[in-house]
Amino acid sequence: MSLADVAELTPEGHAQPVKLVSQRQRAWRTFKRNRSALVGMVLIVLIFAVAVLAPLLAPHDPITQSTINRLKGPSADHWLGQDAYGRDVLSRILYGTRVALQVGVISVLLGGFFGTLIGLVAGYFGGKLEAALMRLVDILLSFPDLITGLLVMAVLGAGMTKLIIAIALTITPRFARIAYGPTLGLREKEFVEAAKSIGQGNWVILSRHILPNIGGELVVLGSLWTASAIRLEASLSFIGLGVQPPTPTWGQMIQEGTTYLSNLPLLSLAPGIALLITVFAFNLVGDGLRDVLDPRSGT
Amino acid sequence: MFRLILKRLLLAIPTLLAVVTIIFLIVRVIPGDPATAVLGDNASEAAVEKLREQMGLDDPLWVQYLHYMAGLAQGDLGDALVTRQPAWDQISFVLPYTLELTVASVLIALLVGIPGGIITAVRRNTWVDYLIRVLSLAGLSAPAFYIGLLLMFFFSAKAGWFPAVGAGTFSEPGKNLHSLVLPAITLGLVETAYVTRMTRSVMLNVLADDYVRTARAKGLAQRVVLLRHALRPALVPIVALTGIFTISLIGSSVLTETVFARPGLGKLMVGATKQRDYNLLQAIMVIYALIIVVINILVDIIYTWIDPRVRE
Repeated sequence: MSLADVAELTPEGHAQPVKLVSQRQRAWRTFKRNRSALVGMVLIVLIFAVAVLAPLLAPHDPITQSTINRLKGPSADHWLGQDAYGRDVLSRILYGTRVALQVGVISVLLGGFFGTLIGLVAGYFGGKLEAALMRLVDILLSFPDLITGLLVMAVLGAGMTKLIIAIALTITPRFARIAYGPTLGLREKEFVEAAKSIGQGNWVILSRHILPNIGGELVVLGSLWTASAIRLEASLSFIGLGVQPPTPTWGQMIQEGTTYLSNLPLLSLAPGIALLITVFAFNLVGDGLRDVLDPRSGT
Repeated sequence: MFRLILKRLLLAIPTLLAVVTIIFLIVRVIPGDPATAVLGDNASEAAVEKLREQMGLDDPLWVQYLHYMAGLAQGDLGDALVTRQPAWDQISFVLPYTLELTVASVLIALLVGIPGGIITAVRRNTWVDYLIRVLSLAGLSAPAFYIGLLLMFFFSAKAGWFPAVGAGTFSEPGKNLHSLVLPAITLGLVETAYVTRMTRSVMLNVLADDYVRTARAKGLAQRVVLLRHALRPALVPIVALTGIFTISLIGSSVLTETVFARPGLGKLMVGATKQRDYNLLQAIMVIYALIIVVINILVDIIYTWIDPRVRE
């Protein structure tokens, strides 16, 4: 595979031969010029830092209850007040970052891996396997993500691991769809034929020759679905089918706060802002990456 | 037109069959015995055994499946485990509430989102464009329940303009519509974000086309160029995607109904899940599948109406 071929296959559709490295540099430059994506990137780094440093940053223990001090408004010691069990709201929000990121990232990695695998296999091998797999994917796709998530949680029961599995399952068909389309086209290309002719195995062709060509789109999808996964986690926890107490999660905090919405709105609204910023950051980066890969869309 | 609808309906049957089968199997995989779930953990073994037999749980899976499918073919969705009444009784009670909520929010989304998308496309890279784009990305990022809570906080708890919870009844249309406002805006805002973003990117593509330049060169007014020449072809993908968004909207309606304590299909599903009423859950999923099929057919019909080329 010559360098010219590589250039021809880039999603940008530029035909001039460019070195792979400089191409990456160019992508990074485009990404940097996209200010909103950069803001998103900085936010994500900060959010990860908060998750890692939560024990250092949190002024109080997020789980210790203090019923005498229940439902206290903001004070010098408790900046965002105390909830119905007297727990420090700020500390709970900071610790909630951990659950949000864990669920978001792990479920996307899992769903992304299996989805991509299904899409690649269906697109590359074709035949009955393709028909069966893609039919199943289409059926799963026809249901809204939250409904699928609810159904899976109904089967598995609540809990963090089960929540991750449920969200990963809703994500899997999305990745399968995105990986499938381009693979169909790529398997007919000369470089795949060339790889076959020199006796390379199917898995080598899939991982070395086809996967890199759809990698960009998968990364965009990964970023956007991390945002959705965090939103789904919060939604399921809000409904009461997600991570169980006493582990602090934003969705559950928002739900618990609804009872006191008119007297102590911060109980619900503050964790909601944390949730909003986190989801927003991943969406910004996803949007920015998409602009880098396909300069015609977006700006 | 009639033939097209018939064809789409026939095409939907295998999909529906597959969906129903998958749901049937998933619900059977759920750990725990439905008979014990009905009678509670303290029920005697004999009572549980008797109920199992009544419910047909001792039959082989394929017999249960045939029973179920035969019932379904006659429009029987089975009985709910908790109430022991036909599941359809509960579903038919809440369905109108979910439908009015969905229709109202789609209308809001189209009325706000399409103009918003056109404005951002025409005023590309100006502050209006940036503002609306940031707002719509925020709309995508906010879960429906949070938007609902914010609206509830400002317009019910603080201003007192709208009721915070409940949905009224259909015998009192005024009260019912009054209760519909906040939930409909909640869901509408989520969908508006999608419609705005999509309209913008579709319009940007269309505006770059030759015939738009020709229309401009002829000296047509901006309004005519936009609405007559650019919007019509742009509407085709907009309609298709609006259909898809409406389906995902049904997911968000679960959250909206929970926040505003409105009766609805989503809230019923959450209740069925928590009470482990698998029969009701299964019936609700079948109704969801039907709704999704109907939305897809509606999209096809609107398609052919906008774009005569599809009719062939």
